[in-house]
Amino acid sequence: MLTTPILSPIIPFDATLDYELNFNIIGGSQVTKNNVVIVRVSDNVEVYNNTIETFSYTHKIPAYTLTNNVQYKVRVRTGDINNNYSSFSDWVLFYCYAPASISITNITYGGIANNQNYLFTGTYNQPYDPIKAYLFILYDENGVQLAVSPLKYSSVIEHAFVLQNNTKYNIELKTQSQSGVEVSTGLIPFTASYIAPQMGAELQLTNIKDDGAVSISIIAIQRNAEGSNYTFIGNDWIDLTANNAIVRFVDGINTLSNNYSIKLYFKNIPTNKTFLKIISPYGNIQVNYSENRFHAWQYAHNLVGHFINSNSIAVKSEDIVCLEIKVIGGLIDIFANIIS
Amino acid sequence: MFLVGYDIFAYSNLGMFQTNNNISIPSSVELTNSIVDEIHIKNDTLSEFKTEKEPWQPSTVALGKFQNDLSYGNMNLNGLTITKLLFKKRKIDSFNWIQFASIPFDPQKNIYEVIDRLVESGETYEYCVIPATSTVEGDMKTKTIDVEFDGTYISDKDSYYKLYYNIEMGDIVQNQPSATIETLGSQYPIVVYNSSINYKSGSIQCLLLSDSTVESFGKIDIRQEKLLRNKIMSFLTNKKPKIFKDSSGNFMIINIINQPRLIPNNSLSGLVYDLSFDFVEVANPYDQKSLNMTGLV
Repeated sequence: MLTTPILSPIIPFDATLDYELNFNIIGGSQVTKNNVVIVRVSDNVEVYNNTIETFSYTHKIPAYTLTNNVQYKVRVRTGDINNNYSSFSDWVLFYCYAPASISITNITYGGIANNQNYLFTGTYNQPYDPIKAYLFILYDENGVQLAVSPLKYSSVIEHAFVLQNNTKYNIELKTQSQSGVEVSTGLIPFTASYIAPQMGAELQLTNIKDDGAVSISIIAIQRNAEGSNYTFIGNDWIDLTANNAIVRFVDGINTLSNNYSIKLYFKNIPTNKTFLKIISPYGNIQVNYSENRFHAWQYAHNLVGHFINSNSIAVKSEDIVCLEIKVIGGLIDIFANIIS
Repeated sequence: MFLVGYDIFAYSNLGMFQTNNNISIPSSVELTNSIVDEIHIKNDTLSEFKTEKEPWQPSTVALGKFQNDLSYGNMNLNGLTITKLLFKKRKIDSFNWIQFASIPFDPQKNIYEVIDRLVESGETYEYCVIPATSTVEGDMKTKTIDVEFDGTYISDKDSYYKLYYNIEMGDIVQNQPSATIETLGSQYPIVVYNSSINYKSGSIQCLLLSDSTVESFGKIDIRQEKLLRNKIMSFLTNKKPKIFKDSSGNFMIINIINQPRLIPNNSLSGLVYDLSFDFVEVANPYDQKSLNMTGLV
C-alpha cells in the first residue's frame, strides 16, 4: 500500500538549470518510481509528465523543460515494483524565474574604497520577482566574516561599514526576493585606502597596582613651520628653489640639547648656496655643497668653524640625497649618501 | 675641579671637549635653495648614520614630511583637522575594541592622559590611541600591558571606592536555572534549561575606614567616618549599574540587590562600621553597548 506523497511549497527556480523536486512520504510500501506532472497555469496545458525509476523521493526536472517568468502547478505520485501507484499529491503552485541580477555598484573587483565609513550601494534587477530583503557581509582578506549589516527590508540597497586604512577586505551582497529566491554577488575583494591622520607618538602605559587602574598617556605634538614662496610637489616634496623661498622651523627647536642631529632628504641643491641654516642667539651653522663635499660653516663668537663630510660625493641635480648633520657640542659630523 | 664643565674660554657648555664657537642650543632651523622630501630633527647623535627614513622616536623634536602641509609634529594630519583623540582597548585575545574615552584635541596641549579603571586583574590588554577628525578615524598606535592590582573595587563613571579592610567575599554563584524531569520510562532524568539566563551573584563584607582615621594611627575621625558611610551608602543605593572587580580577576557589571547593611563595630563603641551588600551581574563589561547603556563609559 503506497501512501500519498507530500509536496512542500516550492521556492521559484531558474528554468534554464536542472531542478530537483523533493517530496516526502510517511509510511507505506517500498517506492521504486515516481511520476511528476506539471501544468502551465495560464492555459492549463500539461507541459511535463514523466516517470523515473528511483528509490529516492526526488525527481529531476531537466533544464529548459519549463520557461522562466511563468507560473506552473505540479503534483507527484509514487509507484511500487508491481506498478501500483499512490494517489497524486495535492497540486502545488510555483514560478520559474531567472535569478535576479545583483551587483555592488560602487566597488569593483580589486578596487579601492577611499573612505573610512564607506557606503556600499547595490542594485537588484528581476522585475517579475522584486526584492524583499538584503544584507551586506564584510569579510577580511581570508574570507573570515567581520561584520554583517542588519537584514534590511527596502528597495534602496546600501550599508556603510567602518574600514581600517590600508587593509584588504571582501564584501558580499545577498538578496532575497519576494518569493524567497536568494542571490549573492559572491565575495568581491577590495582594499580600503584613504587619507587619515597618523600619529607617531608612543603610548605610555602604566599599571597602577594600588589603584586598580591603567594610566594611558601620550605626547601629541602638532607643530607647523612658517615659510614663504614655497610650493608643494606631489604629496611628498616642498620646492624651495624660487627666489626667497624659505621654510622656518621654530616651535620646539629650543628643546634641542647641545647634541642633536638633523637628517634631510632632498634634491636640486645648487653649489655654494646655503640650503640648511641652524640659528641660535649666539650664531648660526650654514650648510652648503661645493667641490663634491657638504660643508658646515659654524659662525659664533666672532669665530668660524668649518666641517666637511669625509667622503667625496658627486651630486647631480636630480639625485636624491640623504644628509645627516650631527652637532655634538661645538663639533659637527656630516654624513651624506645619494639614495637614488 | 672647579674647571669641570667649563672650557678654556670659560664657556659653560661642554667643558674641554668642544670648539670655542659652539652656537649653543638652536632657536630655529631654516631650509632654502632645494627641493626637500623630509627633515628629521632629534636629540640623538649616537645612532649610526643610515639612509632609511625613520619614524617619530622619543628623541624626535621635529619630523616634517611636507605632504601638502608644513606640519612637523608627531601627528601627520594629511591636511585634515584633528578634533579628538579616541582611546580604545581590547583583551589581547579578542578582536573587539572598546572605546573607553574620547578627548577633544587641543593643538596647544601636548600631553594627554587617561586613567582606565575598567580593567580586569590578570589580563593582558592592548591599548590604542587614534587621532580622529569629525568623520575619519586615523591610524591607531598600539601597545600592550599586563594588568594586575591589589584590592577590591566598586565604581561607576563618577565614583570609585577601594574596599581595603577585613574583606570577606561570599560565594560567587553562577546562576543558570534548570529543571530536572524524572520520567517513568528512563533510568536517567531529562535536564531542561529554561532560558539563556546565566549570571553571577555574590556578596561581600568589609570594614569601612576613612583615610583620615587610617592616617591618624588609631584615632577615629568620627566626622570623616560618618561622611564616608553616608557617601558609600548613597552610592550603593543609587540603583545604577556598577563595576565590581578584585585582585583575583572578578570583573563584572553589577547591580546592588537586597539591603546593603552598615554593621556597627561594637568593640570600637560603634564608631566604625562594617559594610555588607549583595550583588548580581547584569551585563558584560567587554561589550561596548552594555558599557554605553549602563553609563559606565
